[in-house]
Amino acid sequence: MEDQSLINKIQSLQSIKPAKQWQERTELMILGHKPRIWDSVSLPNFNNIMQPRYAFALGLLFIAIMGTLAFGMLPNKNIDLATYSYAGLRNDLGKDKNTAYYLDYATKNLAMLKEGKVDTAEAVQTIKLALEKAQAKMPVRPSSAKESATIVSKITDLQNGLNETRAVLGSDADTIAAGVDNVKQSTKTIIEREIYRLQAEDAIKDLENSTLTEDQLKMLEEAKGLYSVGKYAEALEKIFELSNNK
Amino acid sequence: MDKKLAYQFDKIYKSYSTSIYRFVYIKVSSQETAEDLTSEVFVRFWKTFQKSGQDRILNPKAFLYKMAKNVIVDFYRKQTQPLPLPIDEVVEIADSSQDISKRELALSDQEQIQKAIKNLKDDDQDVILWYYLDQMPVGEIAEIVDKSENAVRVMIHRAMQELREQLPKM
Repeated sequence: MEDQSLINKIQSLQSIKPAKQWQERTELMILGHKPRIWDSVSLPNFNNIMQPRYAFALGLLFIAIMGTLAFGMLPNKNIDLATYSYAGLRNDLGKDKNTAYYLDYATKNLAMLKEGKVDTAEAVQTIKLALEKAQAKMPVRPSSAKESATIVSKITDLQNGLNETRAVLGSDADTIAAGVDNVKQSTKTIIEREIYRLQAEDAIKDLENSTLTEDQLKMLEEAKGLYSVGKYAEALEKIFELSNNK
Repeated sequence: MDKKLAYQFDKIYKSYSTSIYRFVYIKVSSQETAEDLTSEVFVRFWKTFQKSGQDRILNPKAFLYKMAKNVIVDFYRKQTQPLPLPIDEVVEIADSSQDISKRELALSDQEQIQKAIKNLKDDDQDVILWYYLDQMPVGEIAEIVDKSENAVRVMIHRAMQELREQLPKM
C-alpha cells in the first residue's frame, strides 16, 4: 500500500467525534456552569492598573471626573429658560452637540422644574427628548478619558436631579429613570469597550515582541484583524486562546 | 470558583476534547467507555489545573495526552472481564468460515485501519495517531513520549512499515 493512501486511511479516523450533547454535559458537570468571555476579561486587574499606561489613563480619568464634579458644585448659575426649552431642543439639529450637552439639557430642566420655573408636562417631554438625543449621540469610542469622565459626571448630576424631583414628577419619574438607565448602560459599554481595546492593544504589542510558533503567529494575525475592525473583546479572546497554546 | 480559571479551562476543553475523545475511542473501541474515560481525563485535568494554575501547565495538550494514556492504562489494568468485542471481531468469530476477501469487504476502511493500528505496540500507536491524525509536530510528540525527535521519527517510520504490511492482509 502506498504511503499516501495509508495516510489517507489514518486521517479518515478524524470522522470519529464525540456527541455534542455529551461534550457539553461533561463540561457542565466539571465546571458547574458555562463560562463566558466576560469571566476572563473582567475590568483591569491590579497588575494592569500598576502598568504606567493604565495608571496614566486612570489618573486622567480621575482628574477629569473630580474637575468636572467640582465645576458642577459651583454656586448655581442662572438657568436661561429659553435656552433649555422643549421648542429649543426640538428645533435643535444636533450639530456640534454631544451626549454631555443633552444630559446637561435634561438636568437643567429638572432644576427648572424643582424651582417651579417650568410646567411639569413640558419638562418631562423635554427631558425624554434630551435623553433620546443623548443616547443617539453616544460615541462609539470616546475621544479621550476626559470625554468619558464628562459623560459619567453628567449622568451623576442627572441622577441627583432626578432623585430631588421625584415627588414633583410622580409616575413620570420612572419613565425618566428608565431613560437614564439606558444612557448609563451605553456609557458602561463604551467604557468597558475602551478598556478591552487598551488591553488588546497592550497584549498585541507584547506578543509582537515574543517568539511565536507559526500557529501562534497565525492566531496573532487573526487577533490583530479582529482588533482592526473594532472587535476588541473577540481579539482578547483570540489572544487568550493563543496563550493557551503557548 | 475562579471564573478566569474556568474560562481558561473552557478554552482548553473546547480545543482538545474532540481529539482526546478520538484518541481514547480508538484505543477502547466503545463509545460509552470512551466517553467515561475522556470525562475522567478532563476531571483529573481540572483538579490539577485548579491546584497548580495554568502557568504550571505549560503545554495543556501534551499534559492531556499523558493523562489520557494513564487513564487508558488504569482502565485496562482494572478490567477483570473482557470488553464486549467490536462488531467486526464478532462478525469474524461468528463466521470464520468466510474467506478473507469477504471479511475484508465487511470491514470499512476506517475499521480496517483502526484494527491495524491497535495491533501496533502501544507507543507506536500513539505516535502514528498524533503525527498523522492530530498533525502534531515531531518535537511535541517527543516531549510527550519523553524521547528524542530522532527516536520519534524512527518510531513513525517503523509503525508505518508495519501498517503497510498488515493492511493488505486484512
